[in-house]
Amino acid sequence: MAYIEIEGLSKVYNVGRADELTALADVSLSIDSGEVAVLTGSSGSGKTSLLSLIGCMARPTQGKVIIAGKDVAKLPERFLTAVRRKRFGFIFQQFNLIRDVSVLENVLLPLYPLDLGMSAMKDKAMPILEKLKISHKKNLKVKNLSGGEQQRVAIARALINEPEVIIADEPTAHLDRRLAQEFLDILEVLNHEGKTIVIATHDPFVYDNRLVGKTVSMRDGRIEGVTIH
Amino acid sequence: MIKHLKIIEYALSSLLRRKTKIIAIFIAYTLTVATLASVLFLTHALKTEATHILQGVPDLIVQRILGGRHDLIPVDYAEKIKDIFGVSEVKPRYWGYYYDALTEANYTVMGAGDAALELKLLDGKLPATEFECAVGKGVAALRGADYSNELILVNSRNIGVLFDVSGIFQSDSSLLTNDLVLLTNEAVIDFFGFEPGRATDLAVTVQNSNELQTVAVKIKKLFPDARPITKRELTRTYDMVFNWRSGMMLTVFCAAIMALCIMAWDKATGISAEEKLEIGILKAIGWDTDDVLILKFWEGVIVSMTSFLTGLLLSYVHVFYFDAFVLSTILKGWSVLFPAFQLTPSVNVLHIFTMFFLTVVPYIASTVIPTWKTAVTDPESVMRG
Amino acid sequence: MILHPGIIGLLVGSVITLLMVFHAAVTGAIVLYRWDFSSSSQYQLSLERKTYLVSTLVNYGLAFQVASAVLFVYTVDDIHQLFVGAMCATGSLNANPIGWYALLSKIAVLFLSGFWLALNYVDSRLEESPYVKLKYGLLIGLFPFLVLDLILQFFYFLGLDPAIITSCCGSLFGGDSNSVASSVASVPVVPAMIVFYLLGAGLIFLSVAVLYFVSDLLRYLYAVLSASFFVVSIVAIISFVSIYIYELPTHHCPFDMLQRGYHFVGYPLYFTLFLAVYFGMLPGLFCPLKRNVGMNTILSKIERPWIYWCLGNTVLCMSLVTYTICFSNLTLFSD
Repeated sequence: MAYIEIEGLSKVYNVGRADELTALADVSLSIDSGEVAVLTGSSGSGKTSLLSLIGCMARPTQGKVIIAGKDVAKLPERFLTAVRRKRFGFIFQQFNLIRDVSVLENVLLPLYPLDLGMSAMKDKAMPILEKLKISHKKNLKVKNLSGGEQQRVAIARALINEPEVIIADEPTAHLDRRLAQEFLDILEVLNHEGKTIVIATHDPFVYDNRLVGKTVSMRDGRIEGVTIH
Repeated sequence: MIKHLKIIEYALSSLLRRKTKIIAIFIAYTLTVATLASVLFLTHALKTEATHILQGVPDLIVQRILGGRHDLIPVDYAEKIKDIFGVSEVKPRYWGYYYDALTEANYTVMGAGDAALELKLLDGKLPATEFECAVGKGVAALRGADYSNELILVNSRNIGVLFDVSGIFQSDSSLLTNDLVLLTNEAVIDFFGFEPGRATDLAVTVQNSNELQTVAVKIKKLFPDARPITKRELTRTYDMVFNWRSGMMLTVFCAAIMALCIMAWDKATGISAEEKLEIGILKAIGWDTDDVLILKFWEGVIVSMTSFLTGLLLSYVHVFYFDAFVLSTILKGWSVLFPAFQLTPSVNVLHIFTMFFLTVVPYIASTVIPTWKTAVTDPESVMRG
Repeated sequence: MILHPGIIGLLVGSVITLLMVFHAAVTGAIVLYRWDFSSSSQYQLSLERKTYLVSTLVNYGLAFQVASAVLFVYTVDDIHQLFVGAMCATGSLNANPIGWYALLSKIAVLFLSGFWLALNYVDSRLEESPYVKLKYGLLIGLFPFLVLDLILQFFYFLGLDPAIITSCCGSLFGGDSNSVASSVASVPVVPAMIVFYLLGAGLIFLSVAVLYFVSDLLRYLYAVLSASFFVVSIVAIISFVSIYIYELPTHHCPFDMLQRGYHFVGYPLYFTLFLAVYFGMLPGLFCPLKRNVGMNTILSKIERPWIYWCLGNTVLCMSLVTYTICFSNLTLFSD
């Protein structure tokens, strides 16, 4: 069954102004539960816009975004945030960690707005940190970590709320081959655990990986073609 | 609840990370509070001192007015006043001011006959003979007159009179006894050369304080040249003066509060790129606008509470340990005549509440809009780096 | 005009609150006229974000109002020394014909803004925000009350003249004059007690009933009873609670109990009373909105804590009253 369903989706920035920009035009797509989907295309093709609409970060100008059977396209921000917090884990291109804060606190941040005690939160975080082999650095500040370690902290943070979907935007852009491979290995484990994964990338190392179940190539805000492996 | 505790913890760590940015607002805030608090602490302390004075004052004082000016009152008025229903006691009081050319200060010379004056002596005893006197700490210090020393004062016939210092006053309120020279009643009459049978004023004790006003009216009817002053009238006058003084100062300091607000607004508006990214990250990973607003609320509370308490502490030390050296000349006014005296620490809850209202409310109000602008940062902005 | 620090604080605070609520009301008006839920335009999104600003502003505004109500009573109590014949806040309020209206408008503004915040809270928990227009319409309606409050307060303080001889609680709440206040004070103790305890017990009983039955009628009754409980409690405080606190059978002042000499017992008494009445009125006030299905479901969830708050505070308030009666040195009934 399709977990994420997108119908006739458009996103226009700065409507009615001189710098009006159509990022997405009439896009339809469906992603199954447990699937690994990759969005490819050059920069400016609309990958990131699509990714942020799927991840409930923004609202479309038109169309439907159905997540687990519920249309979220018109939800007010407050509810959009709730869906995002419940269902999605994000891994950003620049990792987007808070550099002056410890590894553990960075990982715990998504749980702060919930009514969950500090110790319960730590109980959730420790197994994840151990699985990603950074538990020994949990009290270090993020700025003192290497690129690969920061990547793993970012993944840990994406997993802390036990999301059903992992969304990754150009995750390997700042990684060398070895670390990129490491990243894909982690994704493989997560996928085996049943997580749906959506990645936007133009790195062939990622989209040619055997893990990928569906490749969506994009251009100028439209879908050029969908390949199922 | 747990959510708020966690967010407070994060707010604290986030403020500590931005120490340099916070320090300017902290200093400005603290100084504003310290100045405001100093004004209010000082007026309240002075008011308390004045209340101490008034405690010794009888319920009703009867003066005599001659040509619109205060004149000595015939002691035999006392007999007739005593006959008024409700009056339990009438006592003549003998006192006056003495300008000491030597130290260029004013002393209050008072007759010890007044039993209402229950003052504690630091050392020694009250004057028993015409040649003895008890003095306040200020006088003692100025004249170098210690216990069992001698004090020479020049009387109304320009003759130096020698008094033995039989005691030095100690009092909760040194303002009360600081400039006091206490003699026997006879000595005062002789010293100032009062006409026989005349006193400075009459102290009237009334059994039921509710009848004070009635008694005052009756005295006025009986002696048209008398001016009865009730204690309440005195209290009100003092209150008026002090409220007015502190009110004036507060009005002046409103400018300081305005400056603080402008600064707070400016600081809250000029959010750094790093901070903006941080808020964006928080929102992207699942914080709602409300959560960010809560975070910013607690940040504001932490900044204002620490500054507020620091300012309060500073002003307490300033007023009660350093005698409000910055403000004293402006606010005390009349007390420059006095030698230095120590203020008794006393703080009014209403004043603290008022200061809170005058500083925290404007601060929070001026940061609301910039804070909201930060809080509605688009989470998507993080995706676009 | 008296330049008292508390008065300056109050006026500054009120002006700031007014400015904040004014900003909120203007923003609310814009939202009211341009709101289009079905639109997904950037403009609609910006309006939606403005709603956060409006609630934040009104939240702070209400908090300031609560603080200013306390400061108002405190200040009025403090300045009584300036008036001949005034022994507590009652005397200060009498010093000027506007005093009591200023106090009443403060109480009204507290309740009204409290109700608005409850509506805002409930509405923002519904995905389609069905009451946005009602909400912002009411907010604009709330604004004149705040203006009125500021004006009354300003003219009250402006008109204060220490030369005025005022009458205090002794004469106002004494039994022998013909004013409303004195007739309140002369309400005989026993009937006042009976009505107070009966109504309180009724409120407790209804709280439990409302928790178990979904009837609308019950909720309306609950609201009416809460409102009456407010009036009856104020009468009770003046009629008999006061004399037990002061241990003086003739002293009926409702403000003296806020002073240190009486261990500030007035604050918990009034706070619990206000909270009980406020939360007791909410379920009834929201009944007309139940036609909306989403509202109905969310309300049944949110209502429970309201009822608990009302119940808890009623119990606290009544225990406090009972406590003062039992542990007072004054005995009206000897057995």
